[in-house]
Amino acid sequence: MAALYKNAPLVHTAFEARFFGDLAIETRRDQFQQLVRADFPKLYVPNTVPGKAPALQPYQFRTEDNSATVNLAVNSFAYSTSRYSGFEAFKVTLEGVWKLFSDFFEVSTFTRLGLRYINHLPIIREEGGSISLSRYVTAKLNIAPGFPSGKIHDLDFTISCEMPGGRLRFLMQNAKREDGLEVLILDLDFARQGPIDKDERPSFIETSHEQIETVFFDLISKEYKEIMKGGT
Amino acid sequence: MNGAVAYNMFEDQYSDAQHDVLPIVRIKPKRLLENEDFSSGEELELDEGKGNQVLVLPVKEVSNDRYKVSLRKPIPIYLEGKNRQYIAMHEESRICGEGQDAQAAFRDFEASFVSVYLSYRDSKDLSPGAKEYAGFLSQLVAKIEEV
Repeated sequence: MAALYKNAPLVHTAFEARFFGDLAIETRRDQFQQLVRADFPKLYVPNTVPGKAPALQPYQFRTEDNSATVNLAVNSFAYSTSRYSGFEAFKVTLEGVWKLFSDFFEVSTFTRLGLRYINHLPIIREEGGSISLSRYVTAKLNIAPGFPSGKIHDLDFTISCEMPGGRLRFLMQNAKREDGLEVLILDLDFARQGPIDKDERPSFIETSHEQIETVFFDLISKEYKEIMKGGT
Repeated sequence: MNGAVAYNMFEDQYSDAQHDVLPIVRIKPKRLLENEDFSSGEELELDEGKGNQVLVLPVKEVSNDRYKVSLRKPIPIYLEGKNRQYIAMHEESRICGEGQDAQAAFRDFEASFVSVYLSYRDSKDLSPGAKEYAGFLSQLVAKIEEV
């Protein structure tokens, strides 16, 4: 989100549609690969995971630089990117790959639709090792009287709540990335459970984006909002 | 799930189907390991697909062991690095710090910022370019106090 912000903390955006399993997807996967190969030339196949049905693990078609994928399984389609340059641009790319998929496979009803934005805000701990949460977010975690919220050392918080048009699952946690930098993850995943008619998909995307954006900007601290805009 | 069989994207590992390489092993956020209700997305973020995003920290106060500098408004400090080489940088002032981890790089940045600010503030006979730079720094700072 906040694509036009120079210093937006967004690292990942994904759209996912789930539907009743269709074996045509498995049998015609080669033809789908031909359709997306120009933009997603890399093919990644899922490894065997004990206890998991292979057909439900998506094949991944990736861009040359690994910045975006189309995931395809017998009961799901997903498009995700780590290079988000605005909601409108995201939709254009998504609709491009969605059209290839929907022209090729007949899916009339979805069992679940989801739009997800993952943000990483870098953490520099205070002297003594605590995390100054107010530097990043407006959320206050004094969940009960006498529960100290000022000196947080570790955080792992998830809430799932009903909102107009669906359900938002929000996750906030600190984690160390592969590059060694510690970040505060703000993960906003808006989903609607089916049955959902295929014609409702575009309006779902608009609604979910609006809801996520509203929550995000309510959540992010004034300090962080100022630096997101860039300058100085 | 209304008939759809849930799967957990985050426990999957993938193999490159075109090159014979080892599977990518991802670091998974702790909470997601247990959850099947998230939409897909996280799987790319922590492997080679990321790296184009620079992490930015808002900073309103900068201090070393002697001074605390309060800024008029938050400035963005860019943090990046890997393999025990990290930098914290303020782009506009071109002041940066380095260290073996992000904390150390940031502390080094703070020390550099205070030092650079004081030296420009206290210097006489600055060249026109240096005067301009000193003016820029003084615009950033609201007050400085000894601690």
